[in-house]
Amino acid sequence: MYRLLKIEWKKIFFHKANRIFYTLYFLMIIGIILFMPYIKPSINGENIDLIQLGLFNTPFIWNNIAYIMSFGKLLLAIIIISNVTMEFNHGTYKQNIIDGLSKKEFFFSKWLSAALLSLISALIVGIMIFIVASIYNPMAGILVNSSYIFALFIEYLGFISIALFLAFLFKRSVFAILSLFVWNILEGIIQIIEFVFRKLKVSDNNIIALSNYLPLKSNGNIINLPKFNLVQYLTEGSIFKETTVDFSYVIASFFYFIIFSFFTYLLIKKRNA
Amino acid sequence: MNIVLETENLSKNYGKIQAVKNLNLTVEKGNIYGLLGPNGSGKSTTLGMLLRVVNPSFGTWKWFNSDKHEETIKQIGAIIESPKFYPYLSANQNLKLVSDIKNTSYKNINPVLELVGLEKRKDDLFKNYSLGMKQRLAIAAAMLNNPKVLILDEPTNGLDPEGIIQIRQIIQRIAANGTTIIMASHLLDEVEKICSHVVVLNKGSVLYNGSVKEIGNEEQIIELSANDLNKLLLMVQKSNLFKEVAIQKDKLIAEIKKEISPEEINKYFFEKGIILSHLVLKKANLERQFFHLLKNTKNHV
Repeated sequence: MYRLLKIEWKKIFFHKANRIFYTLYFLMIIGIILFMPYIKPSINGENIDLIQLGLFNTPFIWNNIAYIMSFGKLLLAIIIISNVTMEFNHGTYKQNIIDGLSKKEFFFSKWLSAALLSLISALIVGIMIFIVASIYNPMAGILVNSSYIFALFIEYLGFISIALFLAFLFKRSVFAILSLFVWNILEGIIQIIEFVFRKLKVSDNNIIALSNYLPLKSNGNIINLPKFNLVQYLTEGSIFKETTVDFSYVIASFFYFIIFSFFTYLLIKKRNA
Repeated sequence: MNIVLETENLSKNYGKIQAVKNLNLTVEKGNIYGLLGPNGSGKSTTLGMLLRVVNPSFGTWKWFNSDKHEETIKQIGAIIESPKFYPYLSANQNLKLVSDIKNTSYKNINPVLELVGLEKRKDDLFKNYSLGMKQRLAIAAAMLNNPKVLILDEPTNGLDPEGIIQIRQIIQRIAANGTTIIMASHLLDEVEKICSHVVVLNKGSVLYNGSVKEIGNEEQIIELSANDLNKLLLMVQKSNLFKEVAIQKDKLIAEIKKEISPEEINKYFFEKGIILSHLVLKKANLERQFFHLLKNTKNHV
């Protein structure tokens, strides 16, 4: 494993542009959280102070920041897709295999670096939330709802496993990224179809939409938009409602992570290099 | 055990097309093998299978009498197609990466760079290299783990004359150290100059496997010329001494049916009233043999 990571490290960090890009990526994660108190969007001419609304209050802070950071999965996916497709562009995938890296080792070198990148990203977000939370809140109960960081990690992991699969499938970054968008649209269409044919016919409101468990949908559902309550704001001074991680989506996304990792491995193994 | 490579019924189908058909091949230690064949004869597919980048449809192969391919691959250095490296890394960084892949020490990097004469340019980025330098770097990378076998696929393709000579010298230097070399090529001249053995492939089957010297021993060629070339041609065609006559510019080239000395040939034509202005007896070169082999298989089909 150490050897595989050493190989990946050389491929990525011996490249100056990559070094700059990765540094900027991590600085951006930190930067967004640090600059959030200074963002005061104006609605109807009135400046809204997100901090006063309780953006950084525990336990809502874990959900709030994790939700914003979950969009980082798109950036992660692009990093991973370009890292994999560059091997095909340069013809180095084939040469790596000829030089003695097995197909399994090649897969694991990419898979490991992608998983590690997800883990580091989620950990940085977690540490930053902890720091910010401890500034704005009393230390007691600060870790309540920190399971959102675990959820964020699974969301990253699930998403990059799909990106990894598409990158190996199409070998070209443009096709891989485009197919991710097309995939998302297709899931949207399936959701509409399900809504028309199931929900409209059955008047039961508690019916669970199965399309919520499609690969990209379940991944996106792990961390939802924080819930607001205006009445609560007027009476208690805090606009956010407490939510917890819905672990059914975490489990679904982890299941897809295993499935797509396995498919990617199978694809590499079966196909000629 | 002097057998380096043995294949048994190795086959590859691409859909309905059989790229390689039941290939049975034995390669012995310490020789330079030329893998010859026209484009599409299955050379690259064969090398691809032996280097496990192409999954064979059928058949097995053994390197060094072992079928543990993930282990034996570490004793083989290979370049197929054009040199492939990370363009944004320097030669030195690229070789470090290959060393990690091959699990060998970085200590080997400087010696192999010296072998191919790139030690002064080792810190230049790969993308700034000329094609000749790229090809030499590829050989350096293949030599990193001091392999028992070096596989090259058309190593002089696209190079200028100077580059071709450099590559050939490097190959001969490597072979002198006892490394077995398997070289695919469609340049007959190159195979004749460098290789000790030749394997001729066509349409996925082996037509010939043996030494380069022996392939030329089977027949003798004679070059003839006279003032009246047409009359000479008629005479040659009538006589039963020759077969397969062809005119090449101002010369006649014919194959001799049985052993005959130049004096006897000269005497024969003199008696028929033709004075030869040119008479050379020689062994058939590889080119002629090669086309002969290809032609024979076509007749069989």
